Amino acid sequence: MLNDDELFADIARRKALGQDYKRPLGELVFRWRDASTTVIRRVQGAFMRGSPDDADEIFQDAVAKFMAKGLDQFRGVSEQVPGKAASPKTFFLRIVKHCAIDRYRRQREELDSGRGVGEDDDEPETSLPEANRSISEARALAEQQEAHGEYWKSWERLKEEHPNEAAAWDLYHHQDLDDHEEVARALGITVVNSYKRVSRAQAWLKLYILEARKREEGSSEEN
Amino acid sequence: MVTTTPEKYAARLTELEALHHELETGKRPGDGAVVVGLLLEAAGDVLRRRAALNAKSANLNKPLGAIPELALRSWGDGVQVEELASRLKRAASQAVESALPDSVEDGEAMAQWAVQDLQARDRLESALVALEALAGTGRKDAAALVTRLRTAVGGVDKVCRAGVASLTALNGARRAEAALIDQEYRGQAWWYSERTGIDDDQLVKVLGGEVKGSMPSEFRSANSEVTRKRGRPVSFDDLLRFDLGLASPGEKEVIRLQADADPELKLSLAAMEAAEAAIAEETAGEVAVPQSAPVSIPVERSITPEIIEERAEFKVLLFRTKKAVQVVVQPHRLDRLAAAAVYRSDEPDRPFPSAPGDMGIHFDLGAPERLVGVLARIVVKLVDGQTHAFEARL
Repeated sequence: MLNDDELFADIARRKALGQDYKRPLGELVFRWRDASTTVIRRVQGAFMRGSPDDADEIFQDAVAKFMAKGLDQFRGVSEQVPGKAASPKTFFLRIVKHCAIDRYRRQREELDSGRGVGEDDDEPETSLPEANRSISEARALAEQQEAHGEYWKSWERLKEEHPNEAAAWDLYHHQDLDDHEEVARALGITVVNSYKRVSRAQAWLKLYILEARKREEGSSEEN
Repeated sequence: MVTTTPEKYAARLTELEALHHELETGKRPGDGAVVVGLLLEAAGDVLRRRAALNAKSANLNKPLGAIPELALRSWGDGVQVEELASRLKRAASQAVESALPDSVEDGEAMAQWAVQDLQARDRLESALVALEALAGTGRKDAAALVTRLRTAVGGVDKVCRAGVASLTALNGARRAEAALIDQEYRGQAWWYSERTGIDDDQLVKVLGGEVKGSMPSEFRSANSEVTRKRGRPVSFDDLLRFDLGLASPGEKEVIRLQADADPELKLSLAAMEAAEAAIAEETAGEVAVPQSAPVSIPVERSITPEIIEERAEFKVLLFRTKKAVQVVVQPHRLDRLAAAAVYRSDEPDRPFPSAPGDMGIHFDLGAPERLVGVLARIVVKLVDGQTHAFEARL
């Protein structure tokens, strides 16, 4: 029987050659199942929430993430930060850890976001003006969400194409630093650089949004 | 300041004659594709600028008719439409940097490079117009080729034209170029002619908040979307990158700032530590194995390079990976390339060592995080003594 490292090397080889690697990957992560459960319990302990049933879903989520990006990430980490990834097992357990953390963080956000599911069930019948108002409110909300979506898509593009500008914008705008001296200190750049990066980020984000809209219009006209 | 002058195109008729002669005498070795390309560009430049060049009576049928079928096919096969898309996207990006530069010098360099990329699109347009003229004389091979290329280039234009607002930063140079193009071809040359009104000259600076000015109506909602205050909670990927030691100083600062204000994130960081202890217990006694890739995967193949320059004799490519930045000088014709050297602006006197690779001559310039703001100067020497120099921001 192949040991973990040999099996992992076989998976990486199959992936590089475009061959199916799901079966050996399944075998490999199954070996790490118990260790994963221990890690998940430790996260549950820190958050003081969760049940044994969650472990299954978290484990599946981690396997999916490991398959989607983890194999390449592992190679990247090994090259960029030698020693940090240590072994495929350690790396997988870190993904498990983060899947668990993400789950319990999201659960808290959902709890904090107000009314839970099913609370709308007993609403009384609405009058016509109320219904019209609800429709226009729903439309406004949908438009806002769409605009919100296009902003974050542009943000992802900025991160990909101009990471330096994205980092400055993230601190200045999203994290509300609103102070170029602070941004410059955090990024190890000059205040002038910070100002310029934020300016470029702002311009690119607006240009990307308009570009996406124009492409969308072009596709709609064709259809 | 980027300038363009009618003189740039005035020599085209003479060049056309020389290329025609070269094609007929077959002086250059090879299948003639390079000469055909240059001849098509020169002829198209004249066809599209007859009024400005005072060449209304110029008869281009003779030089165009001299293009052999085989050489035309070979040129057509070599037209890299995808690279054109990269160049137009890069031009849009550099145009914005030219309007909002870190320094005046940076701005000038960016504007020059951006205009060079637009010129590449314009040269292809000239070649296509010349090809259409050739097809008009009854050459079926030219008709088939121009149909194929027009479709491919049309796809690129459709995607890139949506981003034309970025190019307004180059409006001075674009207006000068557009003014030289005959009216009937001007609209098609969107890279020079679209959004060139003086009202748009300051657009990029206005969008960047550097200059106060009126925001065109189409940008108003994008402007309020971008400037509206909003937070960005730390994501799964942010935390994983932080945990793996991959987070940049900016990303670390984001986590620190949010943890100060968000007890939930503080809890997540505590959970990270607790779970890390569990991982250490679960993997205790394991020997860390060296993590070389089990199968050698060439880095170059996994990414799309930027094209710094393309000439008939060679191409200069820039590969960026997380690990390294590499310049590759790729000869199209080995018998024409004499030497190549690459320098970095932070070490201007030291030529970087080269190594022959499967894509050409490779120059490893180091890790990307050490090259922020650094320029590469690439010098290529041909056997006839011609020297070409280019710069690229790393």
